[in-house]
Amino acid sequence: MEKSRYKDLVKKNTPKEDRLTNGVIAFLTGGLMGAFGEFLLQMYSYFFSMPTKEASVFMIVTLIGIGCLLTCLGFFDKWVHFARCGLIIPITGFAHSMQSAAL
Amino acid sequence: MTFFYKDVYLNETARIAGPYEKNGPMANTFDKTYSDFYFGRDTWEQAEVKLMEESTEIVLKKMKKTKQDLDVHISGDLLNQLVASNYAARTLAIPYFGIYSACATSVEGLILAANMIEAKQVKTALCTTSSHNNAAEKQFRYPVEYGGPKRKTTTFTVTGGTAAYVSREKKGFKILHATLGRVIDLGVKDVYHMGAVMAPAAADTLYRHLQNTKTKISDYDLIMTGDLGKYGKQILIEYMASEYGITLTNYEDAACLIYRDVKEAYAGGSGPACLPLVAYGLLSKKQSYKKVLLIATGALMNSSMTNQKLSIPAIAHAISLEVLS
Repeated sequence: MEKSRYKDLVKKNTPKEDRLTNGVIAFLTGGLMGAFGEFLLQMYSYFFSMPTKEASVFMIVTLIGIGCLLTCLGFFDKWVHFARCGLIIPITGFAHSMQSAAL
Repeated sequence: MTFFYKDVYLNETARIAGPYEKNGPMANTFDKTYSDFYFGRDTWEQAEVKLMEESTEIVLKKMKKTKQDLDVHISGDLLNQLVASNYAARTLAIPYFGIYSACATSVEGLILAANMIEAKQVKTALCTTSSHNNAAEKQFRYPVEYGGPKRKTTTFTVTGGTAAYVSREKKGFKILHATLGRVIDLGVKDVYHMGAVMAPAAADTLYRHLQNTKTKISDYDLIMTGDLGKYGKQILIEYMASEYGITLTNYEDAACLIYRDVKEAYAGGSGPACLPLVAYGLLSKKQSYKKVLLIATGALMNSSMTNQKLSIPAIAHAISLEVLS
């Protein structure tokens, strides 16, 4: 069978990924992540009376810390499995991939 | 190339499986199962070595033989430089062949053993194969903790070790014929769709096996491919129909049988241990089979080559067995 005909056969038998559902879930979880980050940011700048610029560094460090910890404890991958890009695109995803490789 | 055998028998097999397989539908056919991925060793690779060593012990115990009765040990696995096989061979210290055809290794080993026994070069042979989910994922894909989203066509490497005892003793299953596969590549580059990579190789080997042995699909009570998965199985059925005009009946795919609808398993199992775990298990439990054809399929994938945007070649080896009454 020629490659092009085989390509069609494979395409016919390859299931469609649920892009819309995955996208909506990622959008919502990503949004929650963002809201959580904003909450931390405001909290740091309010309680420790520091400028937003410095508070954002602390916020990022906190998120990385949480991401690493959850990866170590072994359930972050299950969340990623559900939330997909909602958790991978934020800084937690980076922390998670680095930590996974280290483990 | 098809080989014909007059006097070679697959006497006995041993099967050990990991935690996911333990919860699957084949659970009652395994000789031994484990609930974790380490089996008391420190790392996944060392755990895989243990799978091989233990399956050998079990098969020797079943045959009431010792290591000294074995003339040759043929083994293969998925890890780089065949480490699991090499380290198990270090423990066994029997003259040893290390072989690699990815997931087609199990049948390749049987063919080599059967050829040597038929030619009276050796009297007995031991064929072992193993795969370990975490060790394989680590090598071929991502670290396991990463848990990145996967496509529906992805297969899940089986954790298991199998050993087969082949000799001239009339016991177990008679090895009838075997067809050596050709490397086939129809230009699939998708590493997450191994079924599509391997289906043409399986079809080619199956067709040549039927031609060379002058048998029909209906002559076999069971035709089983190794690890095409849910979608690959469908591709093979349609490929056989459109390319050779052959309708597959009594056909099963080992990848679809080893797991229940596990979420992590996606399209089904894969790995060199997948076919032998399922096939030997079915043969040992179900008495109704007389003649079976096993086709082990292997995607000869290498991450450097796929990074260079090359397509993935595949191979399939077939062997037909007759159950001795």
